[in-house]
Amino acid sequence: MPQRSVSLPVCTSCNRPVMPGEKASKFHCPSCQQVAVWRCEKCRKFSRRYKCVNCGFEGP
Amino acid sequence: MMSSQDGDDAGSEEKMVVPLLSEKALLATGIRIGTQVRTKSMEQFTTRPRPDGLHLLDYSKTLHRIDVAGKFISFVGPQNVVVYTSRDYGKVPVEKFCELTQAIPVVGRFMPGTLTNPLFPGHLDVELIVVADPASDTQAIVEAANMGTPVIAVCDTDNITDDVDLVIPGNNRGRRSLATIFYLLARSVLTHSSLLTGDQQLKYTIDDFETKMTEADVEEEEEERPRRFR
Repeated sequence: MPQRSVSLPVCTSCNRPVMPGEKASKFHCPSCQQVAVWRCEKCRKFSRRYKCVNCGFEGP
Repeated sequence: MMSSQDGDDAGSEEKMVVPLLSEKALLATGIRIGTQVRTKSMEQFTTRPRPDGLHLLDYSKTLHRIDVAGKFISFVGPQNVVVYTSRDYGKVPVEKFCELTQAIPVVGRFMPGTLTNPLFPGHLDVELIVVADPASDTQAIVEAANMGTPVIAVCDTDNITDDVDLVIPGNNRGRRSLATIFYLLARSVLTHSSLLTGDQQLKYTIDDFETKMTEADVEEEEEERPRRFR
């Protein structure tokens, strides 16, 4: 039986995979709107910084 | 050279931030006045404290973040945005902002389940939330965190930015300051939505955004205010 793999989105702040059902948020970069920013539950909770790979905008 | 990092400058009258609003007038609204407490998450937005112990916010960062937030809201679509405040001073600014941008205003009590319970009659399915104070608008932030909805928050120097995705540093306690922040935000949203050009004026002024108070309200507020801030 062929095996199928699922690619999970990666948190922009900590680079860990965002698990399904996690209270993560996804939005496009507020500054350039080109790149999707994922923030996992922990990074949101601890207010960790994220950086847009396209324009270099740092949030929150 | 005097920069926005210097806490004691009063701003110049010639330098215009937006049409009919000079740098001096902007600073007179108290937009950069913080509190005596500074949290670690707000450290990046503050300058050195004043001699009386109040921390000042870097207003150039405030203006930059208002511009970014306006871009963000216009990209998402203002009709998919909820703007919430539980503060009395924030009621009029939020309503005026929503009137101009077609966003959804929620003032007063944030009924639990507004974002999370689809069976609730007042349920809102939105893509972005704007709050005026993360400390007092916790219910909205918790529900947005549960739903994975991004949050924009106006944060003072003593706010903790947990579950906030975009911080707008600014004085969220002042009547005039809140009015100014929402005025500039409305202007930014309309500009990025191509409904307003750079030199065009809004339908309302900052005075219209401000919550009007009666003399009795002012006296009551003076009594409640701690003596050290008078």
